[in-house]
Amino acid sequence: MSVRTKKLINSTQTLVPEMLEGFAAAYHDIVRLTDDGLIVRRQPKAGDKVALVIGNGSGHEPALIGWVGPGLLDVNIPGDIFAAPGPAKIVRGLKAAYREAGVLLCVSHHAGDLMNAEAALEEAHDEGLDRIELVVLYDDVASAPKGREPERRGTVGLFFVWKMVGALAESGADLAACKALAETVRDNTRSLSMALTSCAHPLTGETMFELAADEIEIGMGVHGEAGMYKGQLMSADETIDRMLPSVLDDLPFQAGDEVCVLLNNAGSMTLMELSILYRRVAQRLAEANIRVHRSWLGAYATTQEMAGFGLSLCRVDKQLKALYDAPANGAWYKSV
Amino acid sequence: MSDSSVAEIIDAETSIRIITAMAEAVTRQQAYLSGLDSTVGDGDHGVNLAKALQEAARRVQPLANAAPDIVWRTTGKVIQESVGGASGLLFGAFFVGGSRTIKDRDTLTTADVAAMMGAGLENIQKRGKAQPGDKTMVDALAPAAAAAAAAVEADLSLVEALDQMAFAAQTGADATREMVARHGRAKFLGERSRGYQDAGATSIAVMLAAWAEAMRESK
Repeated sequence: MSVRTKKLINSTQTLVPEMLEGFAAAYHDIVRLTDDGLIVRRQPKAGDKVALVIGNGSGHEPALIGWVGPGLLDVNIPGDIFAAPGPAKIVRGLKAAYREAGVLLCVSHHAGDLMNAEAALEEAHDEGLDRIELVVLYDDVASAPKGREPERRGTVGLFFVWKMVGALAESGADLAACKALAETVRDNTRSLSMALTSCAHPLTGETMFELAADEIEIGMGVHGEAGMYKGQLMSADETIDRMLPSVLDDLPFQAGDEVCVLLNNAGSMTLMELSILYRRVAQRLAEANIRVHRSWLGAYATTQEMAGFGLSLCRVDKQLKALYDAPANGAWYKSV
Repeated sequence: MSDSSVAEIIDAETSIRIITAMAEAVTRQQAYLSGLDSTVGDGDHGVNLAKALQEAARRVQPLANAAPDIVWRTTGKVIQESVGGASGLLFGAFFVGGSRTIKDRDTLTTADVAAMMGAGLENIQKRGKAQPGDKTMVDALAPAAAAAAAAVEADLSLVEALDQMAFAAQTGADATREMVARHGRAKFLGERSRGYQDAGATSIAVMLAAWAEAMRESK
């Protein structure tokens, strides 16, 4: 398998801090890197509006540093490569965001992310920071069967949550309303990912998982966790025909529904491929009489140079469409 | 500290030596531990744990005059912050949880070590929710904690107790090979997780073996 193990870095020891330094310098008009390694908005949101905070492992850029900014996240707490930040760092992130209106601590459901967030929340409460709510987010249909949704992983579909809850918080909605909306968006979002090739772990240089030259894997997690189908490479249309029904049938999305669609580039997917894949998605949705409100094609959460994509659908109503269309200005996502 | 070749008590200085020995052992085995992790995870477990224990060993060096619980607690906190993720939190939780049972002690006996093992295991299970048989670090720690409790009953010395604990942990880690993962990231593999030894359990075995070895190297 042709896996690129060459990476232009200076040292594995300084990889994350150097990345954050460079990113914050490049997008200095939008974000700022704090002394303790947090990515925060250059212009903090007013204290009477709820702040959105999330920690995550690094190595998935632009997730989630690229999503800090007006209309989106307030504070991102980057961990080490593929590892959620520890409780003390999450507490620092909560303090950086803390305000009268409260803080919504979002968790993309993975064991480490949840455990560290829970430990941090206990510490924050012990210190008297009581206006913090935790919401656990998940969307990946491959990681647990229908009926056991809370066991599922958080993957690319969570971007619908950042976008829509970010817009709601900006409008001045209270903490309970922001948490409720996060759950609503989560419960209307379903995703499934696939990989064509593996990638190299930036710290070890080792291949993250094995895939033969003519093989693909469907249903894997954002770290290459093993998926639900491993088989022969198929055409773009066949791949969508195999993946889309698993997503549609799960919610289920039905005739008459309106959706937003995301085709996420996992790392080295081309816009050419994503467009060809999207063509088939659009055809199949039209056949199913499901209307598409908006679509995104691009790299929103990556796993290094992995080739593959995530397909995510979010069912929207009038309110969610308005929140989706509201302005946002992150380094990696803009909506005017 | 006695002049004999083994430590009969654990004070802060011995605690620092134990942490240092754990760091050295995991560093020597880091490629092996990362390899075990690559089957189901990111393949960085050994590298991360080695880095965290090295940092912990560095940070506890000045604590020779502190109470032992400060050494163990500091180790746990450093691991949680320097590794992050599930394994950082859980390996750290072992030290942090264990340290709570030895507050105000200047030296630790076999009974103290047994209490630490029990509390460390409990803290891990509180956070990670794993049970024995789920193919996690608990499968090495639970037998080691049981061996520690049995050592107290049998009135064993610290050195004997640590040998029993290390053996129990290794046996427990070996047994994970035949288990199907029900927790953590490996659970997504289901039946495909069978046949691979759990990296977390193996690391616990490596750390307890280093602890047992460090008891013999007292001055």
